[in-house]
Amino acid sequence: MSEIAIRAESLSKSYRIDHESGARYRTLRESLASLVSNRLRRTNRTSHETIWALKDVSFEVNRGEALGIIGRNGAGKSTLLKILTRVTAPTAGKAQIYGRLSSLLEVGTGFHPELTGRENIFLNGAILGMSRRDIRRRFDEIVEFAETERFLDTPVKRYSSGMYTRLAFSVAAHLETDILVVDEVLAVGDAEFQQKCLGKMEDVAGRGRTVIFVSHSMAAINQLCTTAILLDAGKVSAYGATSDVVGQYVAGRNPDASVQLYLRDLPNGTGGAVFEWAELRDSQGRLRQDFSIGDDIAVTFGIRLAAHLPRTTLAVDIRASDGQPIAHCLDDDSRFNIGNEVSERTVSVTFDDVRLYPGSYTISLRAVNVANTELFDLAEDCLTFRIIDGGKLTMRWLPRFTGLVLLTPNWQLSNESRPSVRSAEGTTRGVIAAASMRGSLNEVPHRTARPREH
Amino acid sequence: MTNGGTRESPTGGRPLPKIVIEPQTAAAQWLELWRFRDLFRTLAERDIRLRYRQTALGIVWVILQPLVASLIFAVIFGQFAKLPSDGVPYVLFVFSALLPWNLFSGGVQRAGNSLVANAGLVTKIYFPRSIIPIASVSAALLDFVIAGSVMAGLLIFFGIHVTWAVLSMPVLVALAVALTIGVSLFISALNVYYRDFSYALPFILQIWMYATPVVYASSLVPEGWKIIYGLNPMVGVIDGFRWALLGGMFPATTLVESIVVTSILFVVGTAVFSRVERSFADVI
Repeated sequence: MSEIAIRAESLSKSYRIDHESGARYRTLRESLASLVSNRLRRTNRTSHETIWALKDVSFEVNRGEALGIIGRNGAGKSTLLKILTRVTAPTAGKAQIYGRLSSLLEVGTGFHPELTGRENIFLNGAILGMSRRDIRRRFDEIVEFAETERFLDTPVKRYSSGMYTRLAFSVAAHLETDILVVDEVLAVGDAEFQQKCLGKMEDVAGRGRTVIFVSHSMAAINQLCTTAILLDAGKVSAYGATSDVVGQYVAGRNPDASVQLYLRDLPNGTGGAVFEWAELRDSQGRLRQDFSIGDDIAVTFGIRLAAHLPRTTLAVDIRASDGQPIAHCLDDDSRFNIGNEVSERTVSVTFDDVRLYPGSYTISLRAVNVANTELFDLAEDCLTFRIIDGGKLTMRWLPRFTGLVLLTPNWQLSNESRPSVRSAEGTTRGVIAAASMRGSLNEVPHRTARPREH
Repeated sequence: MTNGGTRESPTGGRPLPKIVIEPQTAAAQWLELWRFRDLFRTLAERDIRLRYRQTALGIVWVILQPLVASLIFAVIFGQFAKLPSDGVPYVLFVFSALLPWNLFSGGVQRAGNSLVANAGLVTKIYFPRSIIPIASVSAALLDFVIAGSVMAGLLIFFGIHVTWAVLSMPVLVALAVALTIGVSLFISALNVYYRDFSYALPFILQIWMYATPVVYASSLVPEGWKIIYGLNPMVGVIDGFRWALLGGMFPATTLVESIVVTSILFVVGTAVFSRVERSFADVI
């Protein structure tokens, strides 16, 4: 018989949106002034609107189970996690949690740039809920995992971002709790780190501990979770086996050729750069969603640079409807840089001759700082386009299980019985070059300040 | 998350701690604070470590600040203005008051902005929120202990014979700490909602200092005003400190007043804090 780890009963959370001022924090003078003026006029001029970030969410998680939480931005995923981790209180409903719960909401929360690696291990560990005794006992393991022995007594502000992330993740990975809550850790860091992270979580779940996992990556959810919840506008719209729920999510993503992103109620990042709108157009400049194989697809978006950022990197990600990543296009690769003027800009990214197999694809826009340590904004799956069968390149049937990209290579017929074996010189040189490049990637602490403190 | 001391293996036989996410009672909150003592210690340690990092003089600042302030006050108020100092050297007279005053004002100042400064933690991790301002106060308490040793040196230097009254110091320090925590909880919570307090606080503390017998003797206050004057809880604390360290009349009235007002402020501060702390993450 399985035991319950978490039982949530109609959890709800409402926020009051103030239409007049809009600002979340007020000054004392404003409060007093509005209090007085309201008394005088006997009317309440500021209109409030109650927004339910979460409404009647109930579910149960058994011990040792991994539950995935999916949904669009603003569907209430983060709010649900914040309630479960007791960062914020529910407006109504209750939850029962059996066991110690720790959250990995963001790697490096509580790291202080002025403190040394050693001090930060203790600080971060305590913040994540480890006792000093636990930390001391596992200290060597943490350091070894992070591979930062030599820099233990160096302030982390002198660490490279790689070292910083490794150390932060290492502390979190050595938490010994019954329930682990993970939110989008995979959004930061390189592919290798993400895989390491995912592996560690599978490991955690495998040892009978409970994991609550929020991600936009359907692949990661599929890999890790047995059951999943799909949240839509604060309500549970699907709850059950992961594959069913993911399928429903993918099918329900409402496709649009043009979206107004500033309507998103919650910014998804620190907001240094914010995506305002996005559009899909064809080579004639018409708004379009359905394309034939070989068509040009132009992604145009408006971005507002809110502050003087030293350097913003933009990325356009293309994913298949099942969540499989297809392309991750960085502006750097095309020698493009948006600059750092505070302004609203329109950026157009044209993909020439797109030869993807028929099916649905989604586009995500991402703005990060150049070190990829701070996410400014993320418009996840904001656009959807379809590649339809037929067109100028081929009329034959192209089922997705046979491939993904329609290549049209050069086919040649030769009369020689066997082509002469070419010298392998070029290849060898390539290998040497690759090896020496790898050698130069060793990280050393540098003197740039850490971007932020938690 | 719940019970700092116990660790069960997930598959072990012992019952797991149970957390119910629902509104909490006041008693449960103090218990919660105790459970998170490790985090409290770590945060207090962080505040202390960070204080004088990358300064050349380091901990010397803790001694230098009140000492130089005392010397300046001694020159201006003792030498120029010739304020009476109840028959003790003026430097000693001022230092004995700056000791508790710096504990109070330093603690409140540090704590006042502490929640906003730690917004990153407040919005991401659960812990009893009062840990943050109270940890800031404990950093001020360390300064107090260091400055206290300077006081001991000054007493020896001036050849003052301390009486048995010095044994009451722990009680007086406890009173000062309770007052500091009460006011700190109040101010830090309000500062989350109204950032005005970050700007107003230095003013308030400056005015408060002149309403407190730091640079002058409380005997200068006219007899008819004594009761009202004593409603400032720091009056009793400082009178008590001077009595315990330098001798003189036992300040019974102001001390009793101070204890009463401090208790009220402590209860009110705690109540206000726990009323609003659950929405910090939504507002900060």
